[in-house]
Amino acid sequence: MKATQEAVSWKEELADLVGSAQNAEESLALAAFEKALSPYLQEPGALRTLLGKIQAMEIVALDSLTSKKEFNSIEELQSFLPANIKALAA
Amino acid sequence: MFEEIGNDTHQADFLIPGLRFEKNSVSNTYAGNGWFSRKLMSSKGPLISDFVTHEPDFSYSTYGIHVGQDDRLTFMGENGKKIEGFFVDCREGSPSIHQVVQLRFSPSLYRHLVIPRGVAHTFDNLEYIVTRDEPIWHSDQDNAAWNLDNDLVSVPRTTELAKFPIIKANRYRLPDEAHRFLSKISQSLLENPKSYLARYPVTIRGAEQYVMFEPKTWSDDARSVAERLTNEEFCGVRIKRNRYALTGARSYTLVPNTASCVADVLVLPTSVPGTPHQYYWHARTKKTYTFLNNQELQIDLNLIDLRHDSATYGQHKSLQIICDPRTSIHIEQGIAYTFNCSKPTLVRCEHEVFVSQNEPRSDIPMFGQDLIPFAIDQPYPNIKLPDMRCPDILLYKMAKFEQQTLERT
Repeated sequence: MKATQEAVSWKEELADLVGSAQNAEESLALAAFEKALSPYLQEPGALRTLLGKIQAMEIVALDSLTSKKEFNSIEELQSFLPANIKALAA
Repeated sequence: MFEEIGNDTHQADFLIPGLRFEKNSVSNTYAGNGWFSRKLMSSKGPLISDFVTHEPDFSYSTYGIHVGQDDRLTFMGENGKKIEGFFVDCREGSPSIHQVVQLRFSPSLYRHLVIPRGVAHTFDNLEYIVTRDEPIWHSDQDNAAWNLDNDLVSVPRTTELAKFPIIKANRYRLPDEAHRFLSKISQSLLENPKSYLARYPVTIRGAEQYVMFEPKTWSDDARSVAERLTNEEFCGVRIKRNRYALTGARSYTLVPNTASCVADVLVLPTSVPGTPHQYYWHARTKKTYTFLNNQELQIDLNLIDLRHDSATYGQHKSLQIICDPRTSIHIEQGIAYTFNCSKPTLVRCEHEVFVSQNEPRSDIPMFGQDLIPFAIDQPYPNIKLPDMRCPDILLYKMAKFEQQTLERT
C-alpha cells in the first residue's frame, strides 16, 4: 500500500520536475529521465537501490563469466555459480 | 606503470580526458577537547553524497563502468597503504579509447577524484577506507547500456584490454532537483537494507544481455544491527538504523537520511586525556551523526539535558556507542554534548533545522551559527527551543548558499 502511494506521489513529482526545465539541455535531460524512470513507477517493486557501485564479488563467481564465452540460458550460467550466488536477468 | 600522486597535489589531469583530481573545501573547526577538528563540505553541484565503507581484506575483483554518472570520490581514513587506482577509457568515440591510466595516492580529505562516465575503474588497498561519492547524473534517450536502477556495468579484472566493452555514455546532465528526487526514491527503497547487485554483460544464445549476481548470505544483518539500536530516547539521544545497501559482506553504501540530502563530513580527533572536555549544544538544530570508520571502536558520548520540559532535565549521562556505519546517533536540540574518542574518526553530519513563530530571535544564534558552548559549572539556560521544522528545500538552499559563499572566498 505504502509503495503504491509513494509511486503515485513520485509520478506527480516527476511530472512537475519535467515541467520545471529551465533550458533546452534540461528539457532533453528530464525527458530522457522521465522515459527511463516511468516504467519503474508503473511497477515500483522492480526498483532495487538506484545505486551504481562496484560490488565485492567472489572471484569464483566471476570465473564463470570468463571461463565460458557464451551461455544457452541464465539457468546454464547459474549452474556455473557457487550455491550462495543467484543469477538474475537485469 | 603507476603515476605517483603526492599528498599536496589537490588538482591534476591525466591521460584519459576528464579523469582528474579536484580540490575539496575543508575548514578547521577545532573548538576544544572532545569536539570536531575539521569539516569537509560538499563539492559544487547537487550536494548529495553517499558513503561507501570497505571491510578488512576488502578487494574488488571487477572494474565498474558508469553509464550515466560521473563519480566524484573523496578517499578518507587511513590503512597504512597507498590506494592504487586502475582506469580504462571505454567511451564510444573517445580519442583515448582503451587507454590505461594507473594512479597511486594516499587518502586525503583535501581532494576528490573525478571519474567520467564510460571510464572503467577499480581500486586496490581500500580496506578500512571510506569513500564519499558525489555523483553527477546524466540521462539519455535509447541507450541500451543504461539501467537507471543500476547504473554500473561490471567487468572482471581478468578481462583482456581489447575485450573491454565500448560504452555509449549518457549525454544530458540532470538538474540538481532531479538528483534530489533520485536520492529520495533511493532512501525509500533502502528503508530496509538490501544487498547491491552488480550488473555483468553476458552473451546468451548469441545476444549480449545483462545479468546480476545476488549473494544470498549478505543481506541478513537485521539481528546484528538491532543490538546497536535504542528503542527509547536516552537523555535526548536515539540510535537508529541508517539507510544502506550492502556492497560486500560487511561493506556498506550509505544514502542520506534526510530529504534535504545535505551532509558534511567532520573529523573527530583523539581526545586528550586529563584535559577538560568542552560541551556544546544547539538551539535550532537536531543532529544526526554516523561514525563512518573505526568499526567496533567504542566512543563515549557525554550528555547534559538542558531542556526544561524534559523528564531528564539537568541530568548528566554517558552513552557508550560502538562505531557502526549502519547506525546513526540522533541528538535533540537542547542537549549539551561532548565526545571521548581514542582514534581520529570520520563522522557524517546531517541535520534538521527549527524556527520559532517569533523570529528573528535575539536569544539564540542565527542559522549557520547554532553552536553554543556550555561549561558544566554554568547555570542552565532558560530558553524556549524553536519547534517548527524548516522545510527540507530551505535547508538545501541554505547549504547551497554556504557552498557558493565558500567557493567565492
